[in-house]
Amino acid sequence: MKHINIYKIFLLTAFAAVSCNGDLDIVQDNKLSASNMWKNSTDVIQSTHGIYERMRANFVQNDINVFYWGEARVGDFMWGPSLESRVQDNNMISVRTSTMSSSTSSAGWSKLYTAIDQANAVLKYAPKVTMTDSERSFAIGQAAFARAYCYFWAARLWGDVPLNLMPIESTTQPETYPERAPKANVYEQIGKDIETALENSAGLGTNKYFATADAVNMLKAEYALWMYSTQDGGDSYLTLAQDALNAIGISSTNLMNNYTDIFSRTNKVNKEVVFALLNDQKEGLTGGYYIYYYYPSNLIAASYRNSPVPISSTQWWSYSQNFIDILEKSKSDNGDIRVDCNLGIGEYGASGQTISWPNKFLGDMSKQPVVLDCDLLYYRYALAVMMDAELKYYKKDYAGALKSLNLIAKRAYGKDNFYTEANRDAVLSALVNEYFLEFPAEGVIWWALIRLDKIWDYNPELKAMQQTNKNILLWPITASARNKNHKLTQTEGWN
Amino acid sequence: MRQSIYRKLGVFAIAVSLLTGLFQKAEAQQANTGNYDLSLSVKSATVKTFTEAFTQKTGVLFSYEAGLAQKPMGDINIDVKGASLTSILDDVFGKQVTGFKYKLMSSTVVITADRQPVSKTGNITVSGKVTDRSGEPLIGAGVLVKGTSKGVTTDLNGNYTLETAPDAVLVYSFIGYKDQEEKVLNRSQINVSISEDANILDDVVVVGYGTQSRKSLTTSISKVDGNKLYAAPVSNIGDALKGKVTGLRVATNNTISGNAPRFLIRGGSSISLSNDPVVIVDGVTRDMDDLNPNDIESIEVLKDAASAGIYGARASNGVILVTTKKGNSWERPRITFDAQVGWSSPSRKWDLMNAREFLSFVRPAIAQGPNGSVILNGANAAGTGNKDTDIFTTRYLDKNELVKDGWQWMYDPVDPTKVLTFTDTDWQSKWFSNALWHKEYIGVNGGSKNVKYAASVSYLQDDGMVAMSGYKLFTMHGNTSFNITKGLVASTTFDFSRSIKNPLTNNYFNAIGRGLMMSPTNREFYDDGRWATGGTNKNQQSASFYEAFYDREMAQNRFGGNFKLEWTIIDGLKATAQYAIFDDNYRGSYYAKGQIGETPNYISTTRSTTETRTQTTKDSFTAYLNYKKTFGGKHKLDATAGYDYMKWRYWYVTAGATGSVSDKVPIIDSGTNFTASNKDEKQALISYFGRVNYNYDDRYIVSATLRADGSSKFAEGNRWGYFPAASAAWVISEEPFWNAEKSKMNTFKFRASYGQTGNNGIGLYDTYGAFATSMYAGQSTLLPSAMQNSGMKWETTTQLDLGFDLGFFNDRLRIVMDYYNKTTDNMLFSITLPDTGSLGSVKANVGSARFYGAEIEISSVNIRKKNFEWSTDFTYSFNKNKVLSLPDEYKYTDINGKDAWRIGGYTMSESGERFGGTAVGESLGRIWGYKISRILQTDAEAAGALYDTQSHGYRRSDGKSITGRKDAGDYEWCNRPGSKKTADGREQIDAEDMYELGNIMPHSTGGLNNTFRYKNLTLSVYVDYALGHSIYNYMKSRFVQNTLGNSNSNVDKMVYDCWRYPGDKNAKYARFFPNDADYGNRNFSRASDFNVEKADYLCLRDVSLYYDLPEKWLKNIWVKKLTVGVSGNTLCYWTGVSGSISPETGMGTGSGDSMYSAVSTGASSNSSIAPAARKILFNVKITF
Repeated sequence: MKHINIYKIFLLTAFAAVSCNGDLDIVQDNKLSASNMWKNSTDVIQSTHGIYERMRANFVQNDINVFYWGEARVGDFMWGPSLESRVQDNNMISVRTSTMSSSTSSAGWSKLYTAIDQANAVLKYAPKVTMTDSERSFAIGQAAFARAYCYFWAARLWGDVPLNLMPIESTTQPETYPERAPKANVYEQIGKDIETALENSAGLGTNKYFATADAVNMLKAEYALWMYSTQDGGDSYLTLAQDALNAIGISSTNLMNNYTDIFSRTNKVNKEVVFALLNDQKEGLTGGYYIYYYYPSNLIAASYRNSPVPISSTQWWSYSQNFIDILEKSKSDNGDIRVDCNLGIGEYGASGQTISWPNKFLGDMSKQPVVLDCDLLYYRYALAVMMDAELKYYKKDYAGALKSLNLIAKRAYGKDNFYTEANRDAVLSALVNEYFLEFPAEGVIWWALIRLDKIWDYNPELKAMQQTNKNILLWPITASARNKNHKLTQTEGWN
Repeated sequence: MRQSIYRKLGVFAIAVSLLTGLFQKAEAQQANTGNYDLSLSVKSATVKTFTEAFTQKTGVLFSYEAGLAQKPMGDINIDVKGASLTSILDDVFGKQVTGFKYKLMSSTVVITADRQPVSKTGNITVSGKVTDRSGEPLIGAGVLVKGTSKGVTTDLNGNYTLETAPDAVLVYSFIGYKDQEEKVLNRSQINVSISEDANILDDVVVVGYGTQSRKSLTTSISKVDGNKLYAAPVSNIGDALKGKVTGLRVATNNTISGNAPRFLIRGGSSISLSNDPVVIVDGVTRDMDDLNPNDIESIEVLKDAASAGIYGARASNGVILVTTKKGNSWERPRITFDAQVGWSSPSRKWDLMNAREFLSFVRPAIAQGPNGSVILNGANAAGTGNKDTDIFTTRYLDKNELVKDGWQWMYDPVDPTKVLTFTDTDWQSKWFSNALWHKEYIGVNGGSKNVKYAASVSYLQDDGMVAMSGYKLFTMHGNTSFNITKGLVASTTFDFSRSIKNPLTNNYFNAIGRGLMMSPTNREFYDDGRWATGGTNKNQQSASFYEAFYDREMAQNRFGGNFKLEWTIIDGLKATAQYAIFDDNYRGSYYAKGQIGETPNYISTTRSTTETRTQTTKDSFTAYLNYKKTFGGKHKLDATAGYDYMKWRYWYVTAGATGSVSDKVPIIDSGTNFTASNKDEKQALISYFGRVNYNYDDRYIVSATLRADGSSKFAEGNRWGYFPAASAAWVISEEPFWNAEKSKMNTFKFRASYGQTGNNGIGLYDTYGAFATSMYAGQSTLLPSAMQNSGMKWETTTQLDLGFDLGFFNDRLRIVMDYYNKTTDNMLFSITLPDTGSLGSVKANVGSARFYGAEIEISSVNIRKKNFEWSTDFTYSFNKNKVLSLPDEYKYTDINGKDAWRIGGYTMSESGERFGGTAVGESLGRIWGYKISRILQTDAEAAGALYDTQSHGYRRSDGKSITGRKDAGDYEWCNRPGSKKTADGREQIDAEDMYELGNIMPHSTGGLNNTFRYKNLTLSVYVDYALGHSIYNYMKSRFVQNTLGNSNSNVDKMVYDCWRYPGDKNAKYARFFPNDADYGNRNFSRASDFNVEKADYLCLRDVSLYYDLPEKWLKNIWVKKLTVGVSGNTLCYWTGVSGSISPETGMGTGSGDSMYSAVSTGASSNSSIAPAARKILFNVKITF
């Protein structure tokens, strides 16, 4: 009897010994880990939000943002060092003069890829996780837009870039150490992602800090115009652009009456904004490249500090005198209401000298230095109108182009039919003129000038450099990127 | 020829009897008998059947020569009630059976054949005396005529007489002793002294999941017997192990009382993971911090792969097995009371100046420095502008003014026409002072036929030699075992401890470091009773200020318990199952008062309060089968197979608040600005293990172990690791050709082992990755924060161990030597990922390192006489390491064009040569700093000195500070060829000119113990040592720099050795400069061979003197034994390290800190600013 009991005890022991191996499947609940992530819709939806947090983290960097990538390279025609202190750091000088190298910090793509990676993760898991159709549509649509948007920046900047479509989750998957993919493949993928986003546009919602249907169409239009004008994409891309712009609808109803109000920190995501990334003191999200336009307090007379001259530390970037003249002329000749927003100027210096700065995107001026809490704008309806004019120009519908241009001109100058000459040269000239006057400091102009093949006129040095570097409009990649992945080659022509 | 001893119940039975620790102490024939109700009848008994039956009923163990096993004893009947063991045995061997005799040796009944004297005419009569080596007569020793059955036994005086042929050979034998032969050679008087047989007194060591005889051990295991730890004058067991175990470095890095030392076995095994060994107490993985040394049966240190391999994935850094005390079945209850009381005091101190010395030395120096007169006339430590409201007291005595009570006066060394008056406070003695230390212990030990028990309770209180370092420890221990049925034994063990510490805020540099630096002329209190603030740094306050304003308590309750069943299924086959739990509950309470009386908290008035709770639970279940069998007398098989299951959980919650309006309710609720966080972590480990040990004739022994470990920390697919190891031993001295007597070497064993162990000390999220939450645009976000690496696996260490066990002069001299070489592969490193993904790095298995060394352990009984014995134990361990490979991302081409790998370090601008950091081919733990070339003796030499980027360039000759230049008396630093030059192409001194100044890890450690026993008096002197390491003694710099505002910090008298005048060749150090760091040429600010000090040390660790009161004095007071003694611990260090700094420090304090990272003595979290405690204790031990 006793022996039987003992026997039972040890039998139980033996049973315990083989029955517990499943206990190794521990799920830690302090943090989400790979073992309990991607299990429900919350994981997917919050990860989708995370894509935009990542995207914002990229564009809010000091030397990596839409200004460096989409405008600074217009060069001395438009930008220069501070007219006061005449200083710029090496990174700024190299971008302004298109003499970047592998050590130029503005050439860094790492945070762009963190956003892409996050979008890849959402696109990988959203189809697998149980959730409602509208949730899935939101996740896939947002991720597809974000991936397309980021790759569109990447392909325009570096041409051939690593085309990761799967999240990097281990050191052994092929995407972890990628090579640069042909840009044609990248552009093709962007087109697909835009269509995916549009297929899911019903689920995207109306929050302009994320993608909306209009934001996707803006990207589609910009992408299509780019493919048509720079990648020999053919007329089908004009149809694509037309579809997108039709979907948005080109009219003055989406334009703010007062140009200045578009950029106000107290009137965020106003009706003209299509897509923005949030800056906000409450969420601890502040920053932006505008800081480089602001002055140290010692250069500004005390009474003008933050009123109206924004005070920060060093003014690194300033409009060139040439561009200031253009802006002032537009104001004096045509009564351009945009100029006061785009250019702050006056005898505000510590010793009464004239001080100027781009005056849009003013942050919280109640504090010194200024707290940069106005949103970062990426698409606004005025760009849709301009792209519509550009599309009509490519289609040789010059009258149609003028019609759209005049929507912009009406707000700027208060006049109907400001542009009247419906021929190729005049429309082209008007397009360029309005891109310069409507979008300074917004990271738009560089791309518009390339699309319109006019960059060479405004930055003739580029033309000279193109003789030795056919990829002069592209960027080098950083030494850091190459050190971390020996499969990456430098952009041809750059070192 | 040697006898082979048949062990009745196998090694384990003897283990039990030996581990009681009574074996050595018991005296022959002094039976400790319980009372037995016994009814036993054995028909046609043999020695074997009778003893087996007897043991079965009583638990009493027998030992006899193998040849006796089958000897018939006839019918035996025992039927007694309440009889003592002696009376039963007397009845059996005295009346029922003839031809045998018995002897009660401690716990074991030793049976020998009773050889009757046979006389024969024509022979001579030989008589004599048989004694042991100490001259003690042996009663009942056998004297046999060789080749016959004739023999006699010795009488009560050890004398014998027998008749034998004049050319016969006599064989003298005694249980527990080796046989000795003597040729008669016509002698009539033959006195012999015979020696103990090490085979019988063989040591039993605890190996993983079992025990083994040391003789048959094939692996490298060191053992510390519990009785060597008994009443050790320490607060923590670890402190009692210093230098005692070869291959185990024990170093106290946190000198505040109540903190455990750190262990490092054979240099550890890893670069990036922990190097701490696994500690297993009674089969439960836990720490041993709060165990009472008196409750320890033994501590075994498993060092090589073959011994530690049975613990598989956790064993790369070695294993420490702690076994606690068990009861004895044959013993009356024995009660032991032990009390120790004494004091602890600082073992080392800085030689700081008193106020008079300070003013005499510092004032003239300030006068020569920049802003001299401003400082001298200002409200500074050495300035005279102080008023009653200032923190310093130094001022001129007014004319006709009397010197205040308690104040002093002296002529101003700068202007002898004036008289200075000032106070003098010895701040060091306020931080480090004598403190009461006492400990009381009561233990009960005993048992009866079916029950064995041991229990104890103790209380230790250390008032703390360092301010605010009080420590209290309460422990309870219990161990019981029951014979439930035939062959089934159940036992339980529990340990409970409660410790309470009240340490100061953990920024030790701010508190102790700055507190020590306070000038002796600093006031402690203003005249109105308020605390005077310490100085220009808000954290610099007096010890009494910290004590008054900071309430801090760290309380820890640890509970360990287990339930164990052992079932002897059939002879030789035993099943063991154990369930064990260990609970560790911690409570940390912190409150910073805002105001006391009229004194605000000068550091912060936010009234910060924090409450922290943690709970760790470790549940484990172990089951194993053991089979032991001897075949054909010479083939011994011992096999074990089993299963281990461990589940650990850790909860953590901390909450805090600041902003309470009053100190009256110091709880979180009364504050604002609440913060809180918590954690809940789990892990599991499942293991299967097996060991087979085959022993042929005690000559050839082979053993193999295999463990399979499944860890929840690793992802599926890589979860299971397999760790094989094998070992073998050849006991050459057991070979027939070996003549032990002739060679004087009675034990000669060669051991070899080879195997693999693992290190699974990775973080919980390293394999599974982690995701962090945040916010964007009012929405929650989820982003990956750590990449999963499901391919991650254990670091694997492969170790070879070769060893010799030698015994000379019948094991009076024993030597154990080992050489080992271990290589850790698949070392875990954080590797950088391409920037085309989310995360910058991931932990991965890359890299390898080698740890190698040798050990020798010598124990010797130098003199053994009846009334005097002198024994010596010596250990020496040597360990080195070398990095073998690193991740390829750290690869570069060195200046010779060869591939090299290096993490961190420096690159020389001119030559491109790289040094420092962690590099392939180099060792870990190196300290880098500037090297002194010489002291610049003249202005001309100073003018020609190298540009020094750190020098403020102050020269007394022109009173100007021009960066980079030098003055006479400054150090000229060594310039490293190929280092950066100045813009105009001249050599200069900057960070590229650093040299390797030392290593934080000693290459050699060990200890030397000498024990002298004269009659009842025992004196033991123990020293331990470590050689080859260095310490970055930042505090040394601070005590010559005279910093903190306007030269307000005190200085050590070593400044007297500073350079004084051009040509002062005898100067030991560079020129003293008031506030050298901020205004001088920074001779002392940087890590250099001024403050990186060789930390070789010899420590007089333990000296104890004990006296056992003669038993005849005790007979009438019911006391069995009474011992009084005095002992001292950490009495003195001989070392080159300056000041109060313990030469054992210099590495990270916490268990998570790397053992190979140099930590300066001024590091904020490093308590090594405080000296190690010296303890002198008086001890009384009474056994009833």
